[in-house]
Amino acid sequence: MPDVNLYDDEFHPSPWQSTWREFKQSHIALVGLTTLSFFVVLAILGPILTPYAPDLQNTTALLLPPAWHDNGSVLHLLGTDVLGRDMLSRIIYGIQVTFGGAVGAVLFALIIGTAFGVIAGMTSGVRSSILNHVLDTFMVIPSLLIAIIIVAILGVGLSNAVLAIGLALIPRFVHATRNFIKEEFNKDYIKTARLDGASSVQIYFKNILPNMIDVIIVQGTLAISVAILDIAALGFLNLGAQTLLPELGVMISEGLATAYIAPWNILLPGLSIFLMVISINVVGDGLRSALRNRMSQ
Amino acid sequence: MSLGQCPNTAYSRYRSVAIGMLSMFALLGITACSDITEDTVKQQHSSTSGIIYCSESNPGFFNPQIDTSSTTSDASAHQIYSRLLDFDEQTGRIIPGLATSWLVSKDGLTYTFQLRRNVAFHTTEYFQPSRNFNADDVIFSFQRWLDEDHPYHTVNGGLYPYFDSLNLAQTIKSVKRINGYRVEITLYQPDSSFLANLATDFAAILSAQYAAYLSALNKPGDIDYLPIGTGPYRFKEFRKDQFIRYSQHPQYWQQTERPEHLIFDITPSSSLRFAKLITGECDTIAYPSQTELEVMQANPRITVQEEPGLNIGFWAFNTSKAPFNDPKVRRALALAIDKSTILDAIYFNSATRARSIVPPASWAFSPNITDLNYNPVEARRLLKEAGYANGFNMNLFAMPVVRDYNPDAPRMAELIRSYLADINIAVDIQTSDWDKFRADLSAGKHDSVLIGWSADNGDPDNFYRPLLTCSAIPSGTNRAMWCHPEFDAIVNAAIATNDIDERKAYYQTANEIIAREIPLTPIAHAFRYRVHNNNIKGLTINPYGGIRFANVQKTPKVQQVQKPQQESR
Amino acid sequence: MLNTLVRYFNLIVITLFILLLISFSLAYFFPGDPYTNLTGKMLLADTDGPLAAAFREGNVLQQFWYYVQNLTMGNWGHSFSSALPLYDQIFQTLPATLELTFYASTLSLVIGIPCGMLAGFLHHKKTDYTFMSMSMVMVSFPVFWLALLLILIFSLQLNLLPMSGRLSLLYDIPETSGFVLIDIINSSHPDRDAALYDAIQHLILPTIAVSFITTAVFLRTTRRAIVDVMATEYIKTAQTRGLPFYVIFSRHVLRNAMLSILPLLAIQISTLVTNVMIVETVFSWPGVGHWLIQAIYERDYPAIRIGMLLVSSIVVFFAMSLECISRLIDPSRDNKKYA
Repeated sequence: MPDVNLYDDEFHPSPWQSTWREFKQSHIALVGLTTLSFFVVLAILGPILTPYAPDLQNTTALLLPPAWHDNGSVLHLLGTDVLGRDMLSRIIYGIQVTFGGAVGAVLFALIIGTAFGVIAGMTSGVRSSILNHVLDTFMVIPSLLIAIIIVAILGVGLSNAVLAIGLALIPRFVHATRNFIKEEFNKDYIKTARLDGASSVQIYFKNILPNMIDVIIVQGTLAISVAILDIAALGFLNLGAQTLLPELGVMISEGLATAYIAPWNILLPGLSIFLMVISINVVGDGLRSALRNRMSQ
Repeated sequence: MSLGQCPNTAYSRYRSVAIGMLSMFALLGITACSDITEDTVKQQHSSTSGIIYCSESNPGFFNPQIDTSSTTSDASAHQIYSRLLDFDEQTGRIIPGLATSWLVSKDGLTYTFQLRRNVAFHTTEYFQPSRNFNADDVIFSFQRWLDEDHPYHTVNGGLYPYFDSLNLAQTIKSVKRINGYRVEITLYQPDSSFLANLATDFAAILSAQYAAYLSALNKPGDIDYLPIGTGPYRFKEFRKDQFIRYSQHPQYWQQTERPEHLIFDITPSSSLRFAKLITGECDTIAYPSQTELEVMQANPRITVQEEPGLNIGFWAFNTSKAPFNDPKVRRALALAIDKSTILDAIYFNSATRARSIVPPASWAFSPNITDLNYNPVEARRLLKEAGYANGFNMNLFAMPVVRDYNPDAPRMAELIRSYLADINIAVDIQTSDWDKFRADLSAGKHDSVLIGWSADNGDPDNFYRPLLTCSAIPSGTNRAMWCHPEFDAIVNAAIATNDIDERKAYYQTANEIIAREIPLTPIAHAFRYRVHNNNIKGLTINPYGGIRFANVQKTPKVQQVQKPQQESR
Repeated sequence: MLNTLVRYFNLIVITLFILLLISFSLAYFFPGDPYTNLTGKMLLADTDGPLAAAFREGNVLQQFWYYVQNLTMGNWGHSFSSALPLYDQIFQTLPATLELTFYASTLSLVIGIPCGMLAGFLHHKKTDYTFMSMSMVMVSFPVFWLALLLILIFSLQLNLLPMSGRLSLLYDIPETSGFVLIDIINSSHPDRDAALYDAIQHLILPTIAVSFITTAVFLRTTRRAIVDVMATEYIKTAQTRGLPFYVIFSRHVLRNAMLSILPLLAIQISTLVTNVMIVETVFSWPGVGHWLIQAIYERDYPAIRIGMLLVSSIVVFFAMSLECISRLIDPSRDNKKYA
């Protein structure tokens, strides 16, 4: 009796598919995604792709300009730094360190922040109020101050910088999760579920969590760009990764010593940070509008 | 998605706003550009006539007696204070300072100084002197570091590292006032380098009246922070990490032309100092980076002066620790590094390769000392012989500040690290801020250290004694912690005589001992540079110590048309 | 109205209290002796004050109490590295930071908000896309790199603008208010005009570096708010009623858009302060950020503690005030539940 073909006439994309369809509409977003994938591949395959080890000092080629320059050499496509280290290799490693650090910081913040956000969103009354106040306080402390304090307590190093940035990012995840849960709990489908006798925990896992993933992904993408900027800034200020690690911010601060005679030593690492951040921002933005468009359909 | 009928009107309305904003930016641009012409005008005012020197760091005190750091002596020795004697900057001969003349007794034990009259101390907001300079001030300045019971001896630390490293307190028997303008100093044994020591940056003359005034206020510590001297400039304000401000001392005892203000703009980063020199925010800078010298030489508005320096950059091993107490290990380490590459990469060839601790310009230099050449194979063999075939771990302290003798110790440390990795030695590079760094060195926490020494006077004793004698270990200038009685005896014998040839022979032996024992690996004698904008006149390289601004003038207008310095170095 | 004010006053007090607690506990977290971390290094150590006594007894509550008491009396401890009172040092550096922040945020508001509105009204038009892509590029700049580029171009290559400090050191202007422009105008320096000109030149590059990113953020925030408001039913109703644009704009759009912009701006303050602190280091601007970063290099714990307390208190104060204002102008505030 039932007609199996009844629903096949119409294509029903899954939420992910429809998000992707919306995302594809924007060319800029696609370009951003391609660039971002390029950086991700560089970050993962870095050690295989680099022509030289990042700390290999070629003392016969100090401060070589990039290959397109008159005095450049094809052996060092992007030139060398003041110790004769190959800039291309260092930048690829730097992308790995900076990008990897940023992803680490965001994952850390995401796990803790979402957990707190769920607690904050599902509680009410005095407890929620206190939690929110403490949270709001932390939210307004500038991330650089948090980093300074962490460095003062634990000392400098990439892992401490990642920790500090992770801590500074937690509030945005708490905020996003909390608001989302508060809003969602007021919606009719949740009320229906409640009337069916579902407990808060059941509602959370069955109804809210699947919907929340979108929010977290968008937040996470944008947080990565913030984290990259912060890690590089801390490296630049000598509060993060240390000289031996080829981190992009550290490379810029090392390049300062020869900024006038070898400006590519600060231009190129900065440019890679910039490109990385802008591709993430474009993808995040595209994702956000794709989700918004999907919702509004 | 449309806005109804509105967008068109909105569009034109907002376009005009946008145009308005654009013109605002244009205005900003115009104000920025019109500056160049006015820039030259504003410098003619006398109230703002002044020299800005971009210095490299904060001075610890404003008294060179209690700190050997060259930052401290740059900021105080020749600006705020005068000495009994001075060095002639060209010939290196000793010339009168606050002492107009002096007599040495035949046995070389008694020195009598006739003092200059009508020398005024600085009048400042914090102290107004009521009398001129006289013998009491000399007595006070000497007794402060000589006499351990002097009320000011322990003020601000009670350490007088320069005098301690030369053992001067044990050399001087007494300092006596003959009359208001005559002082007599008696020694225990003759010292041929004594007068030279009195002419160094460290033998500054302080005001006894000011000290008494501070004692009455119960603030003796201020003497080294709010200084009073007889130098060309008086202290006005010091703001840490920002600036030091001086103003002209109108009654300076020498007639010199100098502007109203002298400002030290504290700029730790050498690239920033260089950039500020280019933008004209500094008139002259401390420690120009070797990498940028060529750019500076090519810039027609900047003058670069160059001279071989009386200095030595070295890599010292902590000989009080195993395995560095073994000369074989030290020799292996010295053989493992390639000095020529280091000279290329760090000094950019603005230095001569060092064979011993005295530079070729000194008469104590021995040309026949053989230098160790890069030989990792021999290094590995020696290590094996010493029982370290599998290598070991060591730390390497790299000086965090720039000095003539080592423009970039952390980078040199990285080069050394890669060389030592070849002979199985793992190196842990350590740098920290300058104060902590020196404290760690004095505590002997280092296995080895990249540091150096700049001579304070032309006498070779100024290299041997502070760097490698036993008494220089506690005073913190013997970074190798090396105590070798035979070497000490030779260095002492060398100053007991005035005969140059005899002294030369002693130093020859000393050089041989150093070459045999290798308490430190000499790396380079760096050239010294002074770079300044062309409108600065009278700034010279002082081979014996800190920068002097007494005779430096600034012409009011920036002279654009001046011949670029063609001669190559 | 009064209710909201009291509520926000309470909120600020509670938040400040939390910050005080954090700053006090930092003394225990930092390496070294907690008492020294609180009071710092002095020439004559204070060993018989009530705070010292509380530390001898180990009574943490009393320690906190006397710590707060000392703070209110202006006794903020002494720096490790210079042994100077921190109170004086903070008030030497803070005005410079406030000054830069003020100019930069004003510039960002003046450019960012109108451009954002323009983009919002012309949603999905070419202007909108241009503004959006421009702002996307602008927010992606690492602020320290941008500052370096500005220096490389405008100071070193073109030699147009100075690159460090906020006034040429040749002008010895007495610091009364600490705000350099005000001080110059009030001073009797013979070269006052030249000094003023010099100070403005010093301001240009840091201000641009800070406001570059902030402007883009303001632009995007404003545009989003306008787009959201324009999509609401009441605007559409107003449009179908044929109300002229400026009436719709001034009566409905502006106010409602501001409601969603203000809290977002409040969140941006902490980013703004971070950027100001970084730009200060690059331009050697003698502000709190430069001072704090110097303090961390020297492990000057009392300075870090007090700097953190002061900067975050100021940020909290401004952020909360902004939120409070947005609540005050929110017509639906009586219907909302407060946390």
